[in-house]
Amino acid sequence: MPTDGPQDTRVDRRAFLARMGALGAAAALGVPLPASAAPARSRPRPIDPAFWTTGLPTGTPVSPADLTVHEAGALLRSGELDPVELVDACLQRIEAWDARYLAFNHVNTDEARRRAAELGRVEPEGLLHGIPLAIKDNFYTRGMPTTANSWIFSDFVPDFDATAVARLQDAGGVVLGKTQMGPLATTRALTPDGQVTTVNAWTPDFPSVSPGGSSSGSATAVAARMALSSIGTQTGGSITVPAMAQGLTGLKPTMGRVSLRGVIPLTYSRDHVGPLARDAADAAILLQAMAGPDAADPRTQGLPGVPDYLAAARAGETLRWPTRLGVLPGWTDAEGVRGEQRRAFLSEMEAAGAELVEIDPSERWEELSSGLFNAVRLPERSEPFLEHLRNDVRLFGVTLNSWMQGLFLSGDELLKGQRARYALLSLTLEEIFEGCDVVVQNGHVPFDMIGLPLITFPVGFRESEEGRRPEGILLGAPPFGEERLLSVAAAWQARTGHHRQQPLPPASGTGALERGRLDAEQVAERTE
Amino acid sequence: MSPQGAPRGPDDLTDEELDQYIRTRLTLIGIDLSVLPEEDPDAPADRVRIHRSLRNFLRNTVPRLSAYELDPQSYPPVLYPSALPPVTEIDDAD
Repeated sequence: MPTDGPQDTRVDRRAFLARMGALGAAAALGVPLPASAAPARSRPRPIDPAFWTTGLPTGTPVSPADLTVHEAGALLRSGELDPVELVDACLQRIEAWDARYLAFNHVNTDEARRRAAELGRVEPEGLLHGIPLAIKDNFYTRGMPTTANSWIFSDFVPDFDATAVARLQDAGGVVLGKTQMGPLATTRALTPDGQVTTVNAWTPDFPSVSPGGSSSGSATAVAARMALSSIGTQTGGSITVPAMAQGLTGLKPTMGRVSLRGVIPLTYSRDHVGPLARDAADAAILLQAMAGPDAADPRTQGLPGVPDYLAAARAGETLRWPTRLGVLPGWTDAEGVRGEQRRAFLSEMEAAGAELVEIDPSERWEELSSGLFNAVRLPERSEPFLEHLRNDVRLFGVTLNSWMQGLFLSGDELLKGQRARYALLSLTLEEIFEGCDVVVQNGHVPFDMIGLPLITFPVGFRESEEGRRPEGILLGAPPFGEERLLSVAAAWQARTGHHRQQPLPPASGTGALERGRLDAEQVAERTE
Repeated sequence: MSPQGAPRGPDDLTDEELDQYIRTRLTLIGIDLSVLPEEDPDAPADRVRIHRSLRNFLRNTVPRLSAYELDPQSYPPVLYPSALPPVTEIDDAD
């Protein structure tokens, strides 16, 4: 196989499928999860110094908090910016605005300042040296509350960091705080009894506009320029949906690319960790820092090595690699501005060097991608929470329905779902990725089910009664296609400026706001 | 069989029959819904809504999933689309 293309060209798809089969047999016998106490550390990859010279800001930011990660990295390396100055800029924004946004559950003020001061005294080495980051509240953070917005974890303070969080900090990242989320990662950010919390940064006076869920606070914190970047988790759209709703670049990597150790589980076989970032380069930096095997998470082991995501995201106005862009039937026929934006995207990517290819998956593919098989995830959510369900079902608040449903699928139905997932992956590799390298997607469910990578990024805006709101598109790729997805996003972003636009601060200040409430049935309709 | 002798399908099951099945299953695994209010729209959850949700799930999802056919010679069950080291190292030039 060639060694100079992106990683998706070096993965033998037959071997990938065979591996899945072998693992399925092993999993059916019960694969133990190692109970290692110490999170694994990633091997640092040498940084190409040229990466930072391309990161200098092109405009005049109002505040250091407006910088991207790569822009701030360049200024921190040149000595024009100090980590304390950067962290303080974010903390000031949070202090001034978060009463309206409600993006944070916990702000790590003192420790973030202490850490920034410590980093200010040493030469920048790590990819994220001095960069303030927002962490979704389902990642374990040592000595810091970790609630997943659930009554179950209301007093939980872990004694270790999730591997992803540890790796971000090893790379020099500063944990600014923990972000609001849908209870137990199920829907838009709510209190457990259904009160709406986080608002969309583009419409802060209209709580009825969803910020996207469940990584709602992570998206709002970055879109509102209160944190430079953030991480979230995705089981059913929870990175890409809020990123799309708030004009961000959200990347859900291939299953196993980032460790899930220290993440409160929602669905063991579908949970993914990924960045919600301001552009492709920032997403690449965060993924680079987090990706790689972890002895404490078997899902991360035996996979291809971690490639150079930074190089992939440095693409200029032409695509880094020859790329066939798959287009599904009817995708460009969307009504109104959405259709115009989609057609403009394809036209621009063709100019960037992409070959547009029509892809028409079979009815069988559609069937296997449907909500029917999506339901098979539910027993995986119920099983780890059985103790809490036995103790008191009221702890689950408005999200109880789906935990109860998971108790009513039998073993043979769970196995049927697993077999269907294998069938869907096989069809996806044959019917879609034999013909293209990346493919547009109408929704996140199919690739969430089979653990394939997805990226979203903004392609324009639309006017609504509540104000101007971003529009994004969703692209998928075969296993380990993160480089390819980043390169496409980077080329688009080099040719356009949608990702650089930022929302205005709350027009009506930060006073009281009637936010409303969702009941259990509304949550069930929106649940992951 | 129904009283008329025709085979019964999922749609023929009454709410009472499904509710009894739900209560039995939950009792078997030690889950108690009686701590919830019977019916209270202002509560995060109540027994009426939980039972309604579960009846819909049992009628609509379970029979369709069970009836779906896959070739028994293909697609062994797969839990994780990733790998274990003893069986899976991929040659990677990098």
